[in-house]
Amino acid sequence: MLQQAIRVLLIEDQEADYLLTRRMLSTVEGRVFDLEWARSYHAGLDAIQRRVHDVCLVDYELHDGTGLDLLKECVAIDYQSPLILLTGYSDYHIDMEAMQLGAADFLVKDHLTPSLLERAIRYAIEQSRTMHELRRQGEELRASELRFRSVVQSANDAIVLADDQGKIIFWNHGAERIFGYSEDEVLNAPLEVLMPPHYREAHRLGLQRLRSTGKAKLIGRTLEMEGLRKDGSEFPLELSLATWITAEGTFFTGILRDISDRRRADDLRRAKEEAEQATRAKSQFVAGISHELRTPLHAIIGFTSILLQNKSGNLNQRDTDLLQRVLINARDQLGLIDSILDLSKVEAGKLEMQTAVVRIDQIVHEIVEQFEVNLAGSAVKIHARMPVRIEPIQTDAARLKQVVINLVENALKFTEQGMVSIEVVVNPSNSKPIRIDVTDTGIGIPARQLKRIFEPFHRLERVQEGTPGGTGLGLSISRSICEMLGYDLTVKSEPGRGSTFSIVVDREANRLPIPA
Amino acid sequence: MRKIAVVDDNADNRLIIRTILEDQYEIMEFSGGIEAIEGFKKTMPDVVILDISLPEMDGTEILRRIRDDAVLRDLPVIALTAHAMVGDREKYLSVGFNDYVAKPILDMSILFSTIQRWIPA
Repeated sequence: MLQQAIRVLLIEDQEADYLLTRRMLSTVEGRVFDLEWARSYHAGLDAIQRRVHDVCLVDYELHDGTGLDLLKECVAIDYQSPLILLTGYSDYHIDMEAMQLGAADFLVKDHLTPSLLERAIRYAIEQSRTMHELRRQGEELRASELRFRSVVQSANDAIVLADDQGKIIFWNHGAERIFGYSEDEVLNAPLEVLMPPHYREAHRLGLQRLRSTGKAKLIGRTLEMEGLRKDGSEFPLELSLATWITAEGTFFTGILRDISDRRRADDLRRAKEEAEQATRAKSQFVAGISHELRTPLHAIIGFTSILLQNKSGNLNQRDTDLLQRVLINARDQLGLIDSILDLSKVEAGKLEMQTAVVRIDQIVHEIVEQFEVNLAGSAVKIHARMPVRIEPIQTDAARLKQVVINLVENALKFTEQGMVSIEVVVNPSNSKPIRIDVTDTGIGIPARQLKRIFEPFHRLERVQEGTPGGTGLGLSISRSICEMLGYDLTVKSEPGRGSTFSIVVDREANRLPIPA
Repeated sequence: MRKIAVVDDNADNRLIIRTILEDQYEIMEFSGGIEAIEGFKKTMPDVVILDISLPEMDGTEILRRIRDDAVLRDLPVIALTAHAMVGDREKYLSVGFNDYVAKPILDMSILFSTIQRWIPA
């Protein structure tokens, strides 16, 4: 197999020495040398700059410079190929200096033989390659180390390395942030400082087992435990452990994540679920008990109604008056139970919606008719104000009606005389309903009460103050139903003048001013 | 005399309806669905007043059995329910009840007029 020629640069001002060198190289068996001759220091410097030679032979004493000067030049220009210095005599000091400047070898011309020269060249090239390879590997290692550091340092998690004695040998910024210790404070400290006392014994045993058996229970697993900060506080963390083995021993990498936020979120979610579960259970209980509470009331109301007919004619006026009181109270109590049941259904999300195309004007007429009968002879009148044309809407007619009835009943409760009106406000451009207002001329609501008026049982306080009664649930239920229908329920009031409750059907349109 | 069947597990409720109606109708009382259906087959009532919340077989299921029965299927059945929510009437009519009366019976004339809709005088 033909070997590639070794390119040799000879810097030598004695032609005899050049010829000698050429002859020696030509006698080497199995190797081909491609020899270039530079006759002076400066010619040599030029040749070196081309950087095409595998090896460079330099005479120490040139007429325009020394081999040592050339070596310095080579260092300065970071010359890669090996340089062998040739001298006429052996000089220890020059030899030392040459070696320090990076010469591959130092040969005395008189002692040279073809085989010595060939071997010196071969070794120099080989050594140079090895050096380059080492240097390249060193650079790669440095790059890899830099990569590793930048990844590790930029991690949010704590990354901690320890040796098999459990001593901390690496500590990243994440660890500093999470535990509060700076790198200086924890390097060479035992890992135990990072754990609450009750973990330490198990940790020591684990380390012992690892050292004696090479086995560790926790390696390759992720576990949750508590960490100990510098300030003594404990916090929940998630730990992943890995080991790595080198000639120097076994090491650990621990990646630790502060999971306080996650724990808090979990706790919150659990609390929320428990609260919702409790609400559902409560609602079911209320629904169940409402039924039980109603049944005897039905009997009381039924029997009282029958007695009030006075079929046998045995009851006098006072008897029937008292029975009437029984009936009124029983019915009030029934209304209260119904309201509680409604509220529990709303809270439990059990109120089903059935939507259809609905004519609001029809609903309002029905309600007004119903209340007109009840109000016959009273000092309060009810009436409706509606435009001629109202576009039908998609909604749950029964629920919407329930809300309007609640609002009218509420208005009547606080209005001794005057007017309760139901007004449907439409968008004049397309006749689509914007809102339904229920307005009364009653006692009104003080501003400080307005905020809380939709809270369940709000009115109960006022019952105790001797103001008109009610469950205090009607408005809360009404608002909940409105929300389910996608509507808002709002209130405006002026004490002494009256109140207006508005079912806002079209929020967008309601924000715009209505042209008169 | 026309016969009205009252199906309700609560004796007081049955007594109330009996007391209201007994001057004008013959009352058949049943406390549960199974005995009611057996009873109807022996003596066919003219109208059934059926409570919805019954412990063993609820009113809707009893209605389904009546409608599935070749002999009983055309019986007028009036739902009697304490679920007096707005919209309940439509709900019960849609599952096949002929009519609907809410408990408690606050206005006796409503009970009479409802029955009379299904028994032409």
